[in-house]
Amino acid sequence: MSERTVILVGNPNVGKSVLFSKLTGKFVIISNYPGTTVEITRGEMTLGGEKFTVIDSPGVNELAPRTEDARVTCDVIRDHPNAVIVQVADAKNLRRALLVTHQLAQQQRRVVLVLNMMDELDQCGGHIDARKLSELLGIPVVPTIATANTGIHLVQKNVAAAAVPRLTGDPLPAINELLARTYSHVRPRQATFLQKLGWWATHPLKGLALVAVALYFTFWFVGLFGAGTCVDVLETGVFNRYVSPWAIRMVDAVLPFPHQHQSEISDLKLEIPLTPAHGIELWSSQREVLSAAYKTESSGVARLAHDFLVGPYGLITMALSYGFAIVLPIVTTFFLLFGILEDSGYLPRLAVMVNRIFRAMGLNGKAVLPMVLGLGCDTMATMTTRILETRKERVITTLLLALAVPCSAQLGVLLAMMASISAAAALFWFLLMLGVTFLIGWLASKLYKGETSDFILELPPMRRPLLGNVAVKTLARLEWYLKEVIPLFVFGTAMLFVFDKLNLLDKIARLGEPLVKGWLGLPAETAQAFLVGFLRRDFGAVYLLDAAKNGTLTPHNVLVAMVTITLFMPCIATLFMIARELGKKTAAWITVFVFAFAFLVGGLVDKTAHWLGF
Amino acid sequence: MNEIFHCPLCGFEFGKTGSVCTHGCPMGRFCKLIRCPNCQYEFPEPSRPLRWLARWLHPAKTRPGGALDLTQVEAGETVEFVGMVPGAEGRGRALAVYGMTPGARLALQQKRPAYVMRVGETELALEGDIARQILVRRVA
Repeated sequence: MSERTVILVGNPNVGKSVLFSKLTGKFVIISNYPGTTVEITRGEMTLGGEKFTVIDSPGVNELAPRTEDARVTCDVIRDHPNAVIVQVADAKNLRRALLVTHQLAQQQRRVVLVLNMMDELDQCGGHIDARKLSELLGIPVVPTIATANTGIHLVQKNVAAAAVPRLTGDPLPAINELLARTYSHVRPRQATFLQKLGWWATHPLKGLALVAVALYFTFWFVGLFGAGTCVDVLETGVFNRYVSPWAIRMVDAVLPFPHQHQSEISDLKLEIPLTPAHGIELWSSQREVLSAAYKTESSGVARLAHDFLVGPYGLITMALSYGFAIVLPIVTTFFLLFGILEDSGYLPRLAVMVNRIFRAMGLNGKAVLPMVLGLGCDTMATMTTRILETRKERVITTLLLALAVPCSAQLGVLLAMMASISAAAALFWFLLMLGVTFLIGWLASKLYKGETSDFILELPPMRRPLLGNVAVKTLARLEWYLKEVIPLFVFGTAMLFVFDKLNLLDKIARLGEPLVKGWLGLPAETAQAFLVGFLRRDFGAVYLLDAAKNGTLTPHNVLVAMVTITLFMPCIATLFMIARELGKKTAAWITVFVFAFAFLVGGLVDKTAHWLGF
Repeated sequence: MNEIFHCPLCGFEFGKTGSVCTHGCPMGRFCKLIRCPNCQYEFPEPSRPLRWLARWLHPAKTRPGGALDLTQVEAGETVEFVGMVPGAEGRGRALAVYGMTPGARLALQQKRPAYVMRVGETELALEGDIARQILVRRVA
């Protein structure tokens, strides 16, 4: 059984996952930064009528359990003593790969060496004599370009010929000798544009300019285009005009009871956004549509079922329209952009730029990867904190993610809320969140015992992102996200529906009054928003958005509500993920702290603003 | 952070762990003096701004054998990696996996906001504290 196992091992960011998906036909997330694979993935391939289990492992630079993911790889290798190791190497970095080969030889493992990214080796002027290398090592050596499908079948053909590498004794002289006999290099005279872009990205001034450009473009693409234009089209143009009225009519036909739905005016504007409040209008239309609100005296099972589906807290009119019409476009635009940034190799360079700031928070620049991913989905980002080396860094990053990094759906709703407050207040909110992140990070780094790891980061070459890869990756992330989020929306809506039917919503509002009205100075009804905010903070924010739109909240209230809900736990799934990654005790501490801190800061903002006379 | 000290008397380089006093000293942990494990000379630990001032007044201190640390190399230069300062062997092992082994050529690309250099075809970023512990030699 274990005879027929193939394990893919290699340095980080050499293309193990690409090769894995080409060998097995199974999709895994691939990106241009080290540490994408944090868990092992299994797949199957058929070779000459025999089935092989293929295991993809996280990248390692040495077979020592120094980090969490290195331990995963070491465990996998140890647990399959008879498996064939397919060592994937970046052809440009043969020396580093051979260090791993040497360690595999010490463990007496049968190895096939795959020299991947031969095209990039060519571009940088290098040449490897693969046949000679194969002779010297006594193992099959296969050159490939995995992204272009070149050489994949040769890898499969050579699995049977795997052997223990002849690489013994002191590694350094042995590897130098090997390299001298098989590797030659002529440096090209001119740097390519992508190389120059890579240098600019870490340059103190040009790098800052690039950060500014990237930030603005992200804001425009996700915040204005995704959360503005796309949401308008889907929410108003599709859901309000077609899906909801259609569902209401359907349900009314199936479950008849005497009632009349009210109608509302649906206003659709299509525009190229410039700022949150301005844009170039392309097209607009007004139309009267059926709304979920109605008046009736009757009650009974038919009405209950009707309300469950299309009532004010209905499955279709609330949960699905929110999940698909608001969350989906925002998250899609973010993951698309994130995929492009990832594959270009820009993110590790961003880590270089922010390293000093992160140092003050007890982290190092590497933590920027989970933090940026957190803007897409905090749950996913919490899982990615595994690339950080010490527990201290993982705890602090997780805490900051849970506290102050809103995921793109949440950011979208918050941006919509921003429309009802002044620009100065919006700026205040932004600076407060930055300040809180920094302050809590700094405090946590002082209070939490432990070490911060060294900042040593490999910068992958800048590459032109492959459209296909970005698209598939975005879709995979979306699938993951929707599977996780839609059930939560359905559950949350069902909870509200039950509370509403049992007339518990008013009671909850009264119960929360001292906190919500007394401390935060908000109307008592907003207690509902904070209640569902426990489930997902953007779900709560949508509530507040409605209240802000119909004028229940003053701009001052909106700011207080925004601050409080932003500092809430991102969602219940994130909480489960924290418990899985850091243990139940730490998760409980983080939760208690986050909620207490959110209300504390919200109340302080309210009191301070009153005191200052706003 | 594993700090490296230079004894002002005998020039010995050592890590903080080697500088613990003898047992039973009444000063206990309030004592801010550092003791050189080689000659037993005691001196106060220089504070951060003081060290910064010292570096500014006293740049480019050469080491035995003409070795420099990476902070003394200008961006754009190519140098040969010699080894790590004593006490930083752990970091040396972490760097070796990126191909930074004695004899390897380092092309320093920039020093701010972090050090970026090229080792073979690997581009590596690291921070000043580590760069200070990397010993290199200029090549002709």
